[in-house]
Amino acid sequence: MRNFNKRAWVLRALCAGFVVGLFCLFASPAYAVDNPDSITIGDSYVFRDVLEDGDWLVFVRYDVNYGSVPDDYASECFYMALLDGDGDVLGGTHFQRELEYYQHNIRSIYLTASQVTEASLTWESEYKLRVSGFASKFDPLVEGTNMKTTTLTSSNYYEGSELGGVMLSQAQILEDDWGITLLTNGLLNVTGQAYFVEAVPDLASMDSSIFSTAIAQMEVDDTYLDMDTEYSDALVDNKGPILGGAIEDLAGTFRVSETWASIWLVAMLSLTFSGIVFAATKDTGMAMMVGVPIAVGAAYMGIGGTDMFATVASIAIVAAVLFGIHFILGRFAA
Amino acid sequence: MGYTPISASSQNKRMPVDPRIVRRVQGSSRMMREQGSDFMGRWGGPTMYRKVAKMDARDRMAYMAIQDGFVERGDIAEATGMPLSEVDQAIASLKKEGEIVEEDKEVAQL
Repeated sequence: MRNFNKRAWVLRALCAGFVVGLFCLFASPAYAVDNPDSITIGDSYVFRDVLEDGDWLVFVRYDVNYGSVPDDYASECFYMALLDGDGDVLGGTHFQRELEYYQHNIRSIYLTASQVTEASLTWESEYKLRVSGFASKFDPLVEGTNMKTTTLTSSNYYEGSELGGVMLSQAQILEDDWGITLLTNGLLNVTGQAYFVEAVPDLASMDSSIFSTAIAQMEVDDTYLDMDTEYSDALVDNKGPILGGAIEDLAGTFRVSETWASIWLVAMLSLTFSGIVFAATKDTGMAMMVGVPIAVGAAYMGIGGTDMFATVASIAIVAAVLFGIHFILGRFAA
Repeated sequence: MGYTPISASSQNKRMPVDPRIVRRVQGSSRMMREQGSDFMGRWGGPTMYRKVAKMDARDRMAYMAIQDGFVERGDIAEATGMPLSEVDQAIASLKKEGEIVEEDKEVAQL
């Protein structure tokens, strides 16, 4: 009769479960989402010269109204986009941005001066602005049902100096509808600031005077700072396109940064191999040591960015200090 | 300015904000200080807001009316502006989902 090794079978079952779990994660199909009860565009604006001469900020106040709010994230189901006069997609992902929230809210697209020039965008032209569901989530896409398009006219175009005033009036509209206080003494309070900066990421740099709490960036004299990321950037190339793509997919699936996905992956790998080594040797020290070459290998491949490199460096320093205390000082003590 | 129960306000018929916005407010002590006694108070807190955001408008209006203390179906109909037949349907639906406890059900059927 064969010797039944319970620990080995548990280990195999865990490994098999891990692999099956990974397959299930990456094989998840796209699910359809119910159409909203209504979809509208309240206001749309285009501002120019907000951060640099010639840049554009396209702003929209929308309402993707659901009576019963779906479980799916709005960012996976709806987006806003700037389209050409014929309603065709302008080239480049910077002309499109996912919505963060359902219901009545705001969103924007920022285009640098070079992006505006590259796309040959013309001020006060009749471009189209669209709030729409993703085709992968809604079939079919129907104007007025799960997609709303508006045509910009010259009255939608504003100079950057008018941005602050418009944002405050938009905040008042949202405050009245939401029942959430966004303005205090006529300026965006902490809550208002959180949502407006989320919708317009560089709003604080564009016009800080509309915030009740101002944040100023410290001026740092970097004359004496002589460092670059050339080495860590070069390490990233070591992992190759396949592993890099897998980490990107993993990060996208869990909606975390690639750094976090990488660290999680390395941690899982270390844990798996440590478990295998422990099962085979019953030696805790040996099992722990397996994690070291994995971490070093990850750092060499630029996985986890500079964080992983710093972690490995820290481990190396701590190991060197411990070695010094135990072996070198230990001999003197003896 | 008088206090308007959420069940009697127009906000109840259409959820004004994505529940994830409420989650963000809840996650910030400063935002909770700004909104805690106002928005959150009217909706019975962030957990209640997220819960009712999943209900359809009819059930939500009836549920919030019960939470606001309207016990008779006639009062619920008056507070929400719904006809009695819809109030009955909402109560039946809430019963089925287990969203109202037995005492509420009995009172709501008076």
